[in-house]
Amino acid sequence: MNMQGTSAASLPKPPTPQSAGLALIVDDELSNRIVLNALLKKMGYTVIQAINGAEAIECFKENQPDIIFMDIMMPVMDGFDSTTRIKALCGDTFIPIIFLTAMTDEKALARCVEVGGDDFLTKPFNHTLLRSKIRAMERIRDLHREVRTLLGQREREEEIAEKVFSGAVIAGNVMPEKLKTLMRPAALFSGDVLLTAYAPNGDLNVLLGDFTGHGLSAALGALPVSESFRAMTVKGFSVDQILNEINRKLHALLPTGMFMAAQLVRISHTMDNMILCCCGMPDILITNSAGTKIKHRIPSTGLPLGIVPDTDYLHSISNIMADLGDRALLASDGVTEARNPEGEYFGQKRLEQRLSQGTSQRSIVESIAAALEEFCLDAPQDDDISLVEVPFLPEVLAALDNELPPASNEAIAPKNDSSSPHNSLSFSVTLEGPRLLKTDPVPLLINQIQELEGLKDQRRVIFTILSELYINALDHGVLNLDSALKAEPGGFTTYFTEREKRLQELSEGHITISIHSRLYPTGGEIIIRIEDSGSGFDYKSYISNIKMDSSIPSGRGLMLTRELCKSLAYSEPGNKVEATYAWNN
Amino acid sequence: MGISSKFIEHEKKLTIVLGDRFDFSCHSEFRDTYCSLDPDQLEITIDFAKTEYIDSAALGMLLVLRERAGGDGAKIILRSCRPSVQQIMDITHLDRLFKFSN
Repeated sequence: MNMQGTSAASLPKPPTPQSAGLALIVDDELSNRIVLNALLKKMGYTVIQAINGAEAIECFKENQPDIIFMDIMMPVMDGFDSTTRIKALCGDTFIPIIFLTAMTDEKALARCVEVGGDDFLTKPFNHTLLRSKIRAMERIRDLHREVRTLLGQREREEEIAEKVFSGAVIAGNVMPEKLKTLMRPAALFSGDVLLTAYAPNGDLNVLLGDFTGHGLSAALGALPVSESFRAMTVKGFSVDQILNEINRKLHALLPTGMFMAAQLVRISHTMDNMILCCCGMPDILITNSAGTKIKHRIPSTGLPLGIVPDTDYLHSISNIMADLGDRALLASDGVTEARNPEGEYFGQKRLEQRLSQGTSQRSIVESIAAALEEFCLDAPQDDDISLVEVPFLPEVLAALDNELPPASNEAIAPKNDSSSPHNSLSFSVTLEGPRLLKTDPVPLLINQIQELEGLKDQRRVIFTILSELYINALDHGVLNLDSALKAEPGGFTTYFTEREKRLQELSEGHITISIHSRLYPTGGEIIIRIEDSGSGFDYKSYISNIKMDSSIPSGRGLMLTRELCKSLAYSEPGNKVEATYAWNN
Repeated sequence: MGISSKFIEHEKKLTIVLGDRFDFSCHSEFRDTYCSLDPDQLEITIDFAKTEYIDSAALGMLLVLRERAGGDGAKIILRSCRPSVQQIMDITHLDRLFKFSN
């Protein structure tokens, strides 16, 4: 497709096919015009003439010539003034102006170029020399046109890509108000990408990715990444599973040498921990609620994504106990590598100094953005600058409560309907030994149920119930972990390290999940039974403890589950649980 | 800018000496040092002694060379990394894919 929209291409001039173009001669002396006219016609030009600078401008406006020959000393308006005005009218289009003058004074010749002329020749001119100059100008003009066409094409393509990018990649993001971001690309199209999504249980996943290079080619990978990230988060997959999948996909899709460094943070709906992973990016910083003290640094522990085909990111993940109001700060290296006019880097030190100083600004992002501005002034930006601040607050989570269909504790089944075999569905799955480490059955089961029963609004709730019960069965049943561990100082990390260790060593044990669901015209009911190979736990005191002291960092999942369900019952010795969830359409 | 290389044919050794910045602008210059050779037959040393700055595109260029030189079987040594460069290598964990020497 021809994108050329320049005036040069849409001229109303009628040159014959073999014409070299339209030439304008500006000279007040007839003899000069006659000589030049003859020469140009021989070269294939169509020629028009003007006798002074003012007439030249009118002539230019009317005919848009391809090349102009300009005398300097003329009545009414001289060649310098005329050239200045014509060049201003040209805009982006390149129309060469060659000065032909009897003046030999260096200053006058230099001025020819200063006012916008492209070349000059002193009269009387040598024909061969002039012919060569014209050919050279033609070459430059053609190159100029080609560059303009290509630039126009590129601009258009980038605009299209930008539309696809913001439509497919950015538009799918959830944007809680408390999440603060600064995304300042170096080129129109950024190599940095920010993705956010809610898990079915309300958890917030935030991924900041930095592709190799900048611009269009760097952003190409963002499409498959956003697709995998969103689909897997929504289906309830864990952080490491999401990273494994994105890594696999990028390795298969991108050419060698292109990859994505990433920071990922997951804010848990239980509001006691966050899960973080840093792969080839600067440290993720966790600050206190004022944003003034760095409580944790999460260094890069994983390879950037897309370099090697099979890596397991499970071991690169950190699980950190957080307090309400803490903030996780994600940043691309464009922040610390931003340079001032002297070429100095902004650096990690300045960033952390700014944090420790505290600020009147409402967010860390705003404060650092201001510091960057003061530092860089008008120095050109070499790299994409991205900053994301994720506060550890319930407000950033999915507004689960609003979206929940009311847990109906009334029996809604019409009596005659419960006996109907057509509306019910049962299946069960058992995971044994090392399978428990490798497979998270919850997302798979949820997808299965959804496919069979077409659940929509209930999906999230059922996911929450199923995953809470499954994690209880795995942690406290099969792995025999004591949740009291979490209450000790630093216990959260101990708990998860121990959990990881026991999972790795797991050779026996099993969990069986049975699903039984029934749909009615007015709603439905699902019964989830989970049995594990553990010795059972003291569920009675566990549940009463939760009631008495809601500040202990465990048991919230179970409490939530109990609130969601119509009934929740453990049976002796505490390794079997049955949860019933019912809903009205 | 300013990449130079030395190829000792009978020893099958290629040494590539990088300039003060190793970034995307060095792309073709870097590739020219090995594209006429068979990198998978060579022991390749990349000298970072002069290099103060590398970007992610440079890491990409190293990975391309690694692939051309036989992937996991490639014999590539990254020599004399300064702290600023070493830091990037550490962050991106490229030590899992390349050998380093002083």
